[in-house]
Amino acid sequence: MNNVFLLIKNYYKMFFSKLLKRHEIKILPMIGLLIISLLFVLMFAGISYNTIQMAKQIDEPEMALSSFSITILMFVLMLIITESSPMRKNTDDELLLALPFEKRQIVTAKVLYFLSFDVIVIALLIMPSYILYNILIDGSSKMISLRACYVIILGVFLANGISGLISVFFAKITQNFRHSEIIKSIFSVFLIISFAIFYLLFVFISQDLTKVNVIYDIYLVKVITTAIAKGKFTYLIFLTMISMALFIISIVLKSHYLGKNINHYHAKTTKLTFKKQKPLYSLYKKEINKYFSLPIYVTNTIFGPLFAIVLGIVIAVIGKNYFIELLKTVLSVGYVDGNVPNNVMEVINSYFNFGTIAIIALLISVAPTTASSISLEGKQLWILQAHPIKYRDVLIAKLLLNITIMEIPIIIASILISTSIGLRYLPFILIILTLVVVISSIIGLYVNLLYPKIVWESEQEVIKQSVAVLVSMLLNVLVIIGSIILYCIIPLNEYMKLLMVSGYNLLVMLLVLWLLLKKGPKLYMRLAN
Amino acid sequence: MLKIIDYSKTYNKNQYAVRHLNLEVEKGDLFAFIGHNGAGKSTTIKSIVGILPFDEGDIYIDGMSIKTNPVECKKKIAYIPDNPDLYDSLTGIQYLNFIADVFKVDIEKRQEIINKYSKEFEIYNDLNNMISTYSHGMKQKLAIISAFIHEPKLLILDEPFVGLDPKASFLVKKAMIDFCEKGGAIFFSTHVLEVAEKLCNKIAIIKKGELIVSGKMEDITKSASLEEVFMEQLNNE
Repeated sequence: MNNVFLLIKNYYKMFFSKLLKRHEIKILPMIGLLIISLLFVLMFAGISYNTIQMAKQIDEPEMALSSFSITILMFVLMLIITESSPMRKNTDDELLLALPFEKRQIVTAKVLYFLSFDVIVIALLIMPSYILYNILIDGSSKMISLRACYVIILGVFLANGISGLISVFFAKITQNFRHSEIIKSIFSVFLIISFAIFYLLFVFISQDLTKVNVIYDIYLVKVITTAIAKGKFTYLIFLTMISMALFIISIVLKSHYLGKNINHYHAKTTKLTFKKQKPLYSLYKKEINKYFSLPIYVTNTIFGPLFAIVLGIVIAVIGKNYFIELLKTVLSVGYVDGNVPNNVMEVINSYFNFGTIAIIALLISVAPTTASSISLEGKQLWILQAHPIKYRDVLIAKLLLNITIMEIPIIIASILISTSIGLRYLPFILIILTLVVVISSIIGLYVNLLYPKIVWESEQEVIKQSVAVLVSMLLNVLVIIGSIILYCIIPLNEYMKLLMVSGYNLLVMLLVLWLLLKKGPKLYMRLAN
Repeated sequence: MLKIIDYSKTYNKNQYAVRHLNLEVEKGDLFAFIGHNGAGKSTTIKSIVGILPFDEGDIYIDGMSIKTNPVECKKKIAYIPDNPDLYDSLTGIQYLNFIADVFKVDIEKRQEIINKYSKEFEIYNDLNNMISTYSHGMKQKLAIISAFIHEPKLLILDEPFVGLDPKASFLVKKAMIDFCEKGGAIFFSTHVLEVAEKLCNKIAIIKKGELIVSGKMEDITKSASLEEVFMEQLNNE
């Protein structure tokens, strides 16, 4: 056990030494990270506040706890999807295996180190709900918050265990396929779509108090709620046993495969194919190949566009008016008498079309592939730098990857939404969303050049925890907030407003493009330093 | 073919990694660049191939500056790093096609070169497999084949024999000699002094970022072995 703690301590030391390098302290990203975290915490706290108020109104405060249990389960599901990437060799595997550590100790240390970040993030988002519950519900036990904290930690262990088992399972069944990781990426996309549908179903059902019990009666939800609310010992033991058992099994299996080459594919044919392609096309193909070969890259960047499609389907199927009715039900939770004032509904009605565009813009721009694409080159960066490849071509290939990934969902979502809100909006939706994708691609790339992380142990560090990803997320959100403010303050008709917003996005695109072309080459040259 | 004039590279502003280095590699030269660990060999090599920017001086490839014409310079050279990390998500042949596309090599030419070297290095049958399944030696062989694909004028190699089996090592040495005999030039770093002594006509020794010896092999070694010369130079403070 000492070795596990030694390794974890070492990982943390490396993390903090990288973060606090005196000449590299990143003030802007730190502030950005704090703002994003605070916004998310406030958002979750706000939703929880409304839920608790609603539960109080109907005199069933425990209903709020059931709702929080669902949130915990949603996070567990999301973690399972994003973390069940195939087992890949980390750069320090061989070094650690050469040292007097057991395989199990190495795997446990790595898993616990990464898992600790998930625990912090999820606890930050969910714990305020339970603290609010303690404050707002008279006579509620303070132990509820403590037990919730314990269950959240167990939830992260459970997610890690299940995702570990999925990884091993996939490694086993795809070991004889050449493109095993591409198969896994496709499976991940399928999981995300299922999650999106499941999530939206939950949102709709939870608006109807007569049907919401169907969800709250799900066994696992009941177990979590009762364990937290009443501290039922058998339920707490059950949750502990199931989470830890799956976690330990996954550690044992992962340890078995550590350092081994999992893919046993051997080409059946030795006949070689020679194809000549333009350098830019070859670079673009390489980017596409890399993208689909890293399921963790896919799962962390395709959430938004897939949600956009699902949202488009929902709006197209149920129609604008019913969707607004649903929004009314959601908002009514925040009002003491349960009625949304007419003037609020008028605002929703008049801003619905642009609001939908803005939501889709947010979904497709928060996680561009470009924000980690430079860092992901890692030790292979020398290939781009030592060969006669133009800087411009490298960047275009990376931009094209993000545009390719995002543009198809944009077209689908735009068509679906315009069938509901009016086909005359289609050109505006397409133009604005395409500009947003181009802007977010450029911002992601520029920020990644500004804050590269070329040395890493696993792709997870770059895709999930890098400064560039967080800063580009913040900047992209700011650009969209700019569009929203502009739309709200222009005293013109809807078409003119949309035209102005398109113009604003075109202007922002030209500005960030100019910045990338002006400063980019110098930053690119600096990467190897 | 390669001219380094007053080249200096600093890290953290005032720390010199290499200071005022001057070198010239001519057509047909097989030039060894030797020095202790951390002497500045890899830094110099990375600047020659355009990976690392540098502070002072200039580096010319076939008369063109790498500072002002990086892409044109890179078309004339090939570089193999000491530990080639290649694209794991590609197969061997996909990687070679990628490099050939970058250099705009014709189908016939790439076919001829890939077939020839992959058969010589005995990785022809593995080219349809993913690079992620290759051993270190196989990756090294693939990087060497990719270096020959566009028939460069100058080869820059950083520790080219690391990880190669004896047969592959022999084949690389043979390919290097053939390359120089056909008018190409090679500049490579190595720690294997016997190989440098046997293969090269020119040599340079670098110590703590400064060039201490440079010239023809026979002028430097005279009656002593290269190892003795190297040790003597290192011990001279």
